[in-house]
Amino acid sequence: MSIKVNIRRQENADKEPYWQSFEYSGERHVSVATMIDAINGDIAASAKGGERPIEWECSCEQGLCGACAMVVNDRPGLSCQMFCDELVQEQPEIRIQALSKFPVVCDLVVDRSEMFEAMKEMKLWLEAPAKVRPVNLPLQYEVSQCLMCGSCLEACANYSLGEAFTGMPTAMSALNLTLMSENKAYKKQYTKRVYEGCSKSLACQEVCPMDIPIVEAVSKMNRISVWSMWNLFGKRKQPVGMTGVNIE
Amino acid sequence: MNKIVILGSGLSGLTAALKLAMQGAAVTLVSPAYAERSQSVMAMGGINAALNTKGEDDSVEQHFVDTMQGGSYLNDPEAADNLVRMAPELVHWLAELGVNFTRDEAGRVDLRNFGGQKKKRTAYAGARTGKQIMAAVIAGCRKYEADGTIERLTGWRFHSLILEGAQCAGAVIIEERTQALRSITADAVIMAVGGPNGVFGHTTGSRLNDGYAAGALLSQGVEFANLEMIQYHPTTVHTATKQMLITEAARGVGGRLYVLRDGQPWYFMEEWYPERGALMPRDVVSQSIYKVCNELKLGINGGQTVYLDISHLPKAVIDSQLDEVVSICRTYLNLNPYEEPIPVAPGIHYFMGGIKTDKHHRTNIARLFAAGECSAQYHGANRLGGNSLLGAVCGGVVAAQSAGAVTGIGSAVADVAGRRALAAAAGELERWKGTAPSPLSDYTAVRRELSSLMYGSMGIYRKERELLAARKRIAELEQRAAEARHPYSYYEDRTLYANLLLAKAMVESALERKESRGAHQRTDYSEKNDRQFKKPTNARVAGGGIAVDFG
Repeated sequence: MSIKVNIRRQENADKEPYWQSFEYSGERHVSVATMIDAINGDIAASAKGGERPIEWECSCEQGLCGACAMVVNDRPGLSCQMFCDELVQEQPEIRIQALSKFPVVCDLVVDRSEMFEAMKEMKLWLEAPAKVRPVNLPLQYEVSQCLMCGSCLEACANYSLGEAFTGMPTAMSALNLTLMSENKAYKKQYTKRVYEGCSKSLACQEVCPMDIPIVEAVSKMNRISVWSMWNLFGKRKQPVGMTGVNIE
Repeated sequence: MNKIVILGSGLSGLTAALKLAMQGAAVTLVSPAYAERSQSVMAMGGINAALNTKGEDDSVEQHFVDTMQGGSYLNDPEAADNLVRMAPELVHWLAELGVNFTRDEAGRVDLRNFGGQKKKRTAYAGARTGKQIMAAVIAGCRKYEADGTIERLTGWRFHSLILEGAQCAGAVIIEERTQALRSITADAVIMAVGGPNGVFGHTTGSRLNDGYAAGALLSQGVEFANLEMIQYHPTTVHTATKQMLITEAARGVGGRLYVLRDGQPWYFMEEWYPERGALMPRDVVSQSIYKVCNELKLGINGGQTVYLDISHLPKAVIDSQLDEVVSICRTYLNLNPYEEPIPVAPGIHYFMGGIKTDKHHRTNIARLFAAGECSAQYHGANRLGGNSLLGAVCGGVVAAQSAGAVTGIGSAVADVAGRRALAAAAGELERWKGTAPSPLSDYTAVRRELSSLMYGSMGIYRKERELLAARKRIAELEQRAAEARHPYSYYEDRTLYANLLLAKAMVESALERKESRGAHQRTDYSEKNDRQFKKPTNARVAGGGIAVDFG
């Protein structure tokens, strides 16, 4: 029996989006990425010819590069890590669309450049050789796994293009750099561009394809960048709403 | 300061960009996608350096010997010597750049065993060394991107070299999605485009490494070396998507290879090679698996796979060093490697051959340099695990030194050549647009046939009859490709031509090497022949075909 797959398509940024349905009848335990390939194979082989294959981004095909992030059954993630057999257990049809927080370039391809621009604006780089504190290495390692795929920003209630809030990709980098340097600039940037805009819904951690311990990371960053200053001002009580994330 | 164009933002291209930017050179970094998407992030195992911190009396000399032996002495000895001597300093540089290397009890960069090496020499960062290195180098480059020293052109690919007489004056690039063309003149060009995975398809690497650039460079007169040397990594797993790599680290920490013989596990590598067992160089392990499956017919269910067992290893070791292996097995194979053995088979993983470069990473064309997997000099006939990340970083550093030291080309001359090259490219694109499109299926059929032809004729064992048949079939496919015009993508259309040309050069190189050495094993010439063939193959376009010689 085949699976009905609904894909939101858009020829380019200026054209109207539309939904198109496909039937997929191949192997079930395949990733959505592999299924899209198969659908494109069918399109290529179809007698009609001329039909445009589905455009999507892809590099490693195994969850290491972040290229293929998209929204499948209303959940953002890497298409190479979401499996058709598991998806059809939730609902009979599979629904695929591009990440909605970024401008569509074509079909499932979006322009994620704003994420990369934010990293530059926040000056997220080392200015001095890294200091190694072995106790911090496991967390530094985890936060450095960020793929810059954008899944967390898609799930985030606070992120939208062009706003000051830059979300977790910048937070993870800011923490990594803070832990390996004496530089306070990362904390300032974090406070301004992440802390002040984050409403702590923690949807980011749930969708992160690398399972980065975002709650732990944010909690640590808050402790060293925000609350340490708070304490300096003699206001010992934690800000309202932050208690929930201080798991340490 | 010099103006340099770098094609590719994997580890070698990014390293070159960073080093050049630190010297103040103006860098244009062209890549099909962000650096986070590059194949370098997939490298898991580690990076070799004779740091000698394990009390094993290691040295750069021993690293050199292992690298040369592993490569069956086809490596450029001067380049390999430079590689191993620079390695310790490069690892320290990466650590200072912020790479989160796993540390030993004393806080030093930890080292572990890898194939083809007798000493613990492979530095690593958990289970994802490539990703961790890339994260730090990306952050390093970010500073120079922010101040404009590095200009990024993302979504663009190499189209052709701008040639001015015998020298390179820049590159014409193409935006894949829009097919827009652009010329960038420069004092030097560094190719860092990765291995030509696209010629075969379904390799362990990235799909972005489509092999276009290599074929296009070959057609423009760039010389290639050792194209017949293609690494079949012994432990890959078949998934519905592709062959996925099970890192050599699995054997490095004690994973064992076996098949069932008379109902009992037979650890064939340990019996055949008692000293290093499953940690022999990759070519030897892959050839052993081939023998077990094809000559002894002991593959799992009579097929081409054998078991890789890590289930006896301490859980803590698997958790901390092999979590990627666990993830691949669970996600794509529905298999629990803590309890069950993993069925593995050799799969294409790395191209030792590529653009012929010397120890300075110079090519046969002035002002053109190459680094990383696309260039050939360090690895000879077989690459050691842990030497690819090293080769990428080292190549980036050396190519940056060389490119940074060229004299200015003179912008007037370069501009004229650039305009001429762009006009030629645009003219060709216009002519292409004027030809009648074919159904996409015609195009994909040629591509599919090329893939199966290459896997068939350029496998672990090769023979003349099959190679001659491949030569003939490629000529036929070239004819069909000329008729099967891609319906909408000029770039993909050109990529097929480029892949066919490179495939031809691979087959011709394999035909000429009438011996068995490293990754090139001939059933009809089963012995190594040092007298005639202890030297690299050189392939170039000549007289409408491919000419191959040695030296």
